Amino acid sequence: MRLKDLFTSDVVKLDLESQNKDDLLKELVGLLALDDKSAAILFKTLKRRENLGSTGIGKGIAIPHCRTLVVNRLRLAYGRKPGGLNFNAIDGEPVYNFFLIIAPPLEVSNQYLPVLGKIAQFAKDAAVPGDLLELSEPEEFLALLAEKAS
Amino acid sequence: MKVLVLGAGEVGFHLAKRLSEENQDVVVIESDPERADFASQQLDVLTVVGNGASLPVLEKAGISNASMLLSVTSKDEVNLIASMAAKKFGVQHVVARISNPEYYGEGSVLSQEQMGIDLMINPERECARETFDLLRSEIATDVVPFADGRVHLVGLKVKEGAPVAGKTLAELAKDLHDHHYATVAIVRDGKTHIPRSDSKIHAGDQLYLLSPTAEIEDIAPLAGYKRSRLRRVMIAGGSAEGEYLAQILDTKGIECTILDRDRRRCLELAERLPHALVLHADATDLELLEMEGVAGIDGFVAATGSDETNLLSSLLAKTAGAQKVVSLVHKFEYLRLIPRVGVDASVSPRMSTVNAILRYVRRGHVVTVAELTSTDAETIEYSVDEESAIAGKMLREVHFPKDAVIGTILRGDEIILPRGDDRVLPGDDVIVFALPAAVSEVEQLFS
Repeated sequence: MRLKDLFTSDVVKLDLESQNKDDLLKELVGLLALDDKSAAILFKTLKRRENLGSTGIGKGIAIPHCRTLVVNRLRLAYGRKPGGLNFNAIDGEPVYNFFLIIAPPLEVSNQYLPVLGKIAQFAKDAAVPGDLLELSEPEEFLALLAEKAS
Repeated sequence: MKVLVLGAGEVGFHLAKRLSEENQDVVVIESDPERADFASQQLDVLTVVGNGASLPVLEKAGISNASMLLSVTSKDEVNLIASMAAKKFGVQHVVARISNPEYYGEGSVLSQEQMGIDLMINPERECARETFDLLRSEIATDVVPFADGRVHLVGLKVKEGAPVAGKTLAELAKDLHDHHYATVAIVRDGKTHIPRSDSKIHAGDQLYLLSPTAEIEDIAPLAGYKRSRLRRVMIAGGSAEGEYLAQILDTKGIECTILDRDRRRCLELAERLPHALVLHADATDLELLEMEGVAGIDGFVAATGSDETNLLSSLLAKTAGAQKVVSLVHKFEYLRLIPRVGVDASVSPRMSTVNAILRYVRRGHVVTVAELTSTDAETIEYSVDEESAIAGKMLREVHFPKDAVIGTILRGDEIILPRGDDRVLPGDDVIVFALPAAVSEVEQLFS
């Protein structure tokens, strides 16, 4: 399974509006179009994960991720914050690109870790952060994944 | 043989103990009088109290007629100075424990040769290597890279009922025509055979194959194992050992997640390990381990600087469902504890150092990576030039010794599994597997 097959354009948002970490997590969760209760649980779980250590892995990238029962299959979303946001990343720099990765606690195909790995690989490609900032349509994000991610 | 052991810490003490048990003439030099006392009470060795980097102390310990110096204090600088002094005194074998990578490799002030050191052991790196071997040991007994890692020699035992069992090499070649393995040796009842096309493989045989690196994973199922499962490893603790391990995993294309509590260290690791996922998190938190997917991980290595933390996170990882869990242990006493609490395996940088040095001492010359577990055969890589006797000839016309085999020919980007009508050309790299008796004959063909 390639990364591009796991995203659709409706889970891609190139102009995140939130001004703080909590709101941004909520906005990302919103992309998954879950019911209110599930969205609230997911937000709480993500926030707990962030409290254990930020998922801002440096170079303007964060990959908030967790396992939770509110989804029954692997769900992904991508959000871009053109002006950047303080996400308490390991390098202390603002984060521009957010990859949300949510998996159920038990998956038959166990894709969570491979996908986490693939996204980390993709985002660490030196050219990718620049490419991401130039996107103007969600479809272009999918095309970039098709071109540069495994 | 007279051996000077510099430093009576855990490494020095163990080396002195093992060597004195093997009836070597051991002198221990230690700056701390209490430690020196302890060593002289516990062991059948002479002890000299003093600074091992000082000439009078080395002379007092009898360096002028020693044949080996093992400098294993915890201070790199002391080990380096003592080693250089030892070479001046004509000590034949000099081994130094050096942790700081700035003292060896590119960009260091003096090269290993200039310092006259025969073997440098980096405990943390040695330990990382051992950890990696443990992680993958369920399948392969040996995995040795050749030709800059493009080809690997893989050793494994054939299981009962394996697809290859009971077949001759000719039959296998027909069944597996789209693969590029060369079976270079079969070890049966402790004896190494160079197989011919009519040689049959039996369950229980130890096989050695040369395989293009990209196809290594396909070998395990043929020998009756599940496909190699080591695809993702989680390292809890970004210690030097953890970092070295991540580097090794990277060269093998294995995905790696590192967790560390210290944000600055995370940043450093993220810079230095472009392919690893470095997360700022506490590995002794079960909830966090679960969220990070430890249940689906193939290998979990607890590698913080604290034994207690390592033990705790190992146990958590094992409970959460990690396949193989290896714990880093610093204190020797804890090593015995590990199997009792249910962690799969343990490694210790000091024990790895002791083992590496003992391997060197026993063999009397530098350890080669191609040391194989169950055969004394050698795998040698040759570069062919115009002058080589074998160059340009069709293989079936060359009188190749029967106790040796050409496993693989590398020509540019091509990896060739040689047949009788192939030729070895100038510019090729050739990997040969040979029993000791055949090595000199093989060398003539390539010289």
